[in-house]
Amino acid sequence: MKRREFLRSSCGAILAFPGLSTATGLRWLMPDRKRQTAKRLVVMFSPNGMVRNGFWPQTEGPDFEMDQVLRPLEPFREKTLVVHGVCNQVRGDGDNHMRGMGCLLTGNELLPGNIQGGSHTPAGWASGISIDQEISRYLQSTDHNQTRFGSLEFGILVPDKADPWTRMSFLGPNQPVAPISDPYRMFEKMYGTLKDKENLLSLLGDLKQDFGQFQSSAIPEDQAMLQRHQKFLQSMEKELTSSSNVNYPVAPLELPANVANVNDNMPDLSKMQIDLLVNGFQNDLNRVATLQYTNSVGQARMKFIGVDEGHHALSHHPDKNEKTQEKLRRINTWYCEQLAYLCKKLQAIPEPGSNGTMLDHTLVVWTNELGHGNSHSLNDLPFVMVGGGFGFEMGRFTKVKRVSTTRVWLAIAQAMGHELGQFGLAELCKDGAIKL
Amino acid sequence: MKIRLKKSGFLPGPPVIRVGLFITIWLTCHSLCFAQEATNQSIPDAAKIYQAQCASCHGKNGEGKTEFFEDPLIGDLSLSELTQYIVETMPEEDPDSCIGEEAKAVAQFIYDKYYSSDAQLRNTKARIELSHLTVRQFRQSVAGIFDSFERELYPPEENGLAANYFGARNWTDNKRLAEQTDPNIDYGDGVPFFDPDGNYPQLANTKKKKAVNQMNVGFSAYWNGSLIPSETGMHEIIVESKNGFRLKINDTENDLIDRRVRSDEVVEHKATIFLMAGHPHPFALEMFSYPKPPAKIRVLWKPPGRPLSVIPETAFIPETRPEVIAPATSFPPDDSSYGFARGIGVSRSWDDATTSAAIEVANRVSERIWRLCKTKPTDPNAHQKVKDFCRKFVSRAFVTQLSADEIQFFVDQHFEKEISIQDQVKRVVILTLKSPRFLYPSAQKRDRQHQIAHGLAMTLWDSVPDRRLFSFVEKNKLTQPKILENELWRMVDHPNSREKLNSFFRFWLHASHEEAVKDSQSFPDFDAYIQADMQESLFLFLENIVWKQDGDYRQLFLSEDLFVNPRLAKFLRLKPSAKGFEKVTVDPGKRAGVLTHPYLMTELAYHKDTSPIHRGVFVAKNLLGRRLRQPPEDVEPLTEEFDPKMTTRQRVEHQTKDTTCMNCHKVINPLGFSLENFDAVGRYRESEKDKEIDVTSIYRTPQGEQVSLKGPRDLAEFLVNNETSQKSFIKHLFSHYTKHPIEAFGTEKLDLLHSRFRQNGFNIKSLLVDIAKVSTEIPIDKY
Repeated sequence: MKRREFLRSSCGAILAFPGLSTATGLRWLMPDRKRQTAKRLVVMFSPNGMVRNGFWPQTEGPDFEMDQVLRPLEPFREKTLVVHGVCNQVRGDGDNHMRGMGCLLTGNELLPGNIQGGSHTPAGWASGISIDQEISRYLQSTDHNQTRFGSLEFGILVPDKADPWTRMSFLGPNQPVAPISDPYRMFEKMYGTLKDKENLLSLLGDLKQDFGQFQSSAIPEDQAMLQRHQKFLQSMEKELTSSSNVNYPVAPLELPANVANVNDNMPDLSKMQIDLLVNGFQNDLNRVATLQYTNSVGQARMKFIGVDEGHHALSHHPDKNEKTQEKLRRINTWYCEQLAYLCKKLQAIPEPGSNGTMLDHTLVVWTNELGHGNSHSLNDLPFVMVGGGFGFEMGRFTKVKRVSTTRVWLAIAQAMGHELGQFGLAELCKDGAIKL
Repeated sequence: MKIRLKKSGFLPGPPVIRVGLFITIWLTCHSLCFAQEATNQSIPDAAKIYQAQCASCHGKNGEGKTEFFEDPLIGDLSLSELTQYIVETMPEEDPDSCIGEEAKAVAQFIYDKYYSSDAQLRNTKARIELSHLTVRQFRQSVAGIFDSFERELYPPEENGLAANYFGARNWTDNKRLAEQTDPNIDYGDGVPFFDPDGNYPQLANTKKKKAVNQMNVGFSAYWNGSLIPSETGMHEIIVESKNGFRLKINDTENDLIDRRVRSDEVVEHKATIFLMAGHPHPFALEMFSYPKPPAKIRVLWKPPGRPLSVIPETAFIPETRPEVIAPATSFPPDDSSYGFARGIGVSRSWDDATTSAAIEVANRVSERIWRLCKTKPTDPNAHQKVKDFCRKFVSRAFVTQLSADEIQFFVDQHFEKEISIQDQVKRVVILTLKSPRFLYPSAQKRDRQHQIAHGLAMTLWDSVPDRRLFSFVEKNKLTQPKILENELWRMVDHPNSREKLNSFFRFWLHASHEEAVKDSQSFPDFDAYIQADMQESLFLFLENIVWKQDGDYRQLFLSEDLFVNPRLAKFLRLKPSAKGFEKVTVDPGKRAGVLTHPYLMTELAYHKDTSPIHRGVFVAKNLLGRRLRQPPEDVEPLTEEFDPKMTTRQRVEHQTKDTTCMNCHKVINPLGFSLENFDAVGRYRESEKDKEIDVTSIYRTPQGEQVSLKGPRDLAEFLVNNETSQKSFIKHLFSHYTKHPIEAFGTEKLDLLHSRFRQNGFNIKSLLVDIAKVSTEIPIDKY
């Protein structure tokens, strides 16, 4: 390289990094960065397989049936793509529930480990990164898609234990990512320090009053010290009032108070988490999110829709048991309603700085660790996508022939702008991304 | 190469002074002493001489003058020494011009009016100044408030952890292999009771059906109890194991390390956690071995400033205590310019730290609100219970009965707001911990019951009263003499008090963990582990004297006991001891308690040679209570190269032989020389450079008495029988405990405490009881 060229290129590099905030990767702090057509991904998970009757449409193409379970999505028919034939073809250690969970988003085997389910070989964590984290990693590495968190992992009633049945997101081999099930904790993560400041700011009047009273009753010899102290109280006030207006496009969400993180509050918890998820998107804290309802073998008891039994127990009943089939349909309909609520919220928000709505710039994927509950099949996973599609042909039902999840994840990554050639196990990606 | 000697004693100045040599000048003077007509035989008017000639530099009342001689005219030379000093050196320009009767008269005048200890006491205008909580007091008080909701703590009777072993993955009673107390978790060679083939004959009788159940194959164990660190700060915790495990420390809900699922080969697992010295933090470790990996596990730690080691048995107790809630927020250090840490400095960084700490505690409380209030969200009375908890919280933080207005202001108004209960609680906690009523506890107005409880807890524990004490206050019973006396002794024996005494010893004996670097050629086996062992040994010694024996102050210097573990024994070339620390008597007739303890001898030495000056200054200031001025400048000590044949003592004598040096060094040197039998790492030696060590010296007391010393035991005997030393100990202890100089409580208090100390056989615990009484204005003799 000639000296002049070198100078030019290094100057260019300097120009590209004008300030510390850019150089340290805090680009999201810069208010005026270009928001080039944001692309977002939400992976929604519900457990224990799907009922066949009442979920799968009969007719391929745009005129597909939206039967009992899918009916809540009717308003988004044009933006919905239902795919039949997606299969988790990863084998190896662990039972189907474990592999169904740990391999679903990673497309990689579970590592040999010390956890045994049923009578299968024991296993541990997944041996690779999951697609949500992979896409987030990619977005964080690009100039215009960096956000504060990259991805946020929302849970609803995910049990407070880390095992292969409760984790689907992985940062890499042996690195499970824990979803946050308590909306208040998620709020803390998203806006915590801000909330602390707000609390303090709203207490300033009381603090000053208390200090004033104390000071007025102190003896003269002690006044000098208290006066010095009082000055710091004033400077704290100054600082708080000047820095409290952090520029978020929308206000941090006001969560309803005192909702305990317990089974019976599932509908409230679900709504709070979805509201937070959308609020995070609006403030561009992240571009990727997961929304995990309970866990593989999850035992949600949906008394609020008249189902008293645990979900996993019900999923073991044979298909001919019409009573339990109906209950399973109700359970999955409720999950679909949550998906529809999320879509409705995204649909109502105009995409900032671009055309269309936020839903048009988001792809929501709803799937499951099993295809079918009582057979524990890893084939024909329920696979529903809603959103702008990023080039996918939306508004239809399609059947594909035994396609590995990895090929679908490749397609989604590429649609998001991440030109991945392979994801998960190599032999499961031989045919490349599936065309949808 | 120099080492740093921490500041101690009562002189103001920077906290760390670089010490080369203490070349100290007692008095300097720029003006002429009044030179009377030499022939005049009448008695000179000393006051006139002083005002006319000395005051311009030393101030009208001996207070000193900034532009000339800053320090006040105080000291502890005897009258004859002072006279001699004036005769020889004053005025500096012409020492011969103030001699004879004039010098004598002016010396007498200065001595009586300003200089002597009586004069100093008379001139002191000490008062109990307003001060805020020190860093230690802030943390202890916060922890204390929450602790006051729990059953009170007593000194542990047993160390170790409760251990349970099972011949299965799960913990069914019929699979239990053993239930016992383990000293600690140090099973790098295999966990007890584990059998790689899963053959547990002891379980043969259990039902066969269960045995085939896959869930019952394997092995598991759990340990629980509490962890009591001896340092405050961030501790690194390391678990070494390939097995599945989960570790909880000071958080009964969340794991510090969760490795239940294992699909890797990583052995070392680290986490960092803030722990408070002397407080028991709940500890629980569960381990799973499935199906057949080796079962090995070790739990290690790296306390602040200490090397990595397996957590010792002494740091565990089998009883599981509630969580310790205290802020990890780092604070700026307290003002220690008066020789003890106290809260007289208000700075922006201090105020910010109190804010951060308040928020930290508020968040931690709000996360645990249901458990702390012993209720749950579904309890119909939950809201009321949380409110009641908050009222108690505020009243205990301020150690006072709240008025109706105060209840409304600090608690109830926040519960009227339409915000989550967590946010309501946060507001209460932040407002309380930021309140001057909490931060300046001495200025809070209280009834006598609360005043006593507050005074005793603050003095003895640096904290708020505990549950038992509050219950006496609530029943109006603390003023009953019998109950009060009982409580005082219980409080002195309390773990908080023991920890506070340790903090005093750390300060008084320079025993905080500053790394000592030693010459690797001369001392190849000295390292951070040896230094940590020495520190542990010192504190075991102190603990033994104060808490296990009869608490006799004199034994701190006279005892010949030394605590060693195998590593330290080997280093000191002693007979190896059994596993762990044990008490041995070594070098009979040669060692003298803390005076010759390897930790101090190592700290008070250079990297290769001893430092009689460091040792002498330490003994003079901290133990004998002498006043030493700072040396006028740093002086590099003479090194071995100066004359390779000279011993350390000879070099020091050579370098300090000037008259100006000797004014101080005649105090310092003899004390330091008497410890020359202990080398730079605290080993006993009889010779240096093939010459026999000479420990004989003569020490001059402030009263002008000459004391002949032949080694450390003579020095120890002198120390323990010397009234000034005894009083110096009382003063140090008093100011450390109360954060005020003893004079602030009345000029007669030192003599009173001293005579009681003597009557009580120099019992340190009795002295602490008396100090607590003085600071709380409880008549010493009446109760």
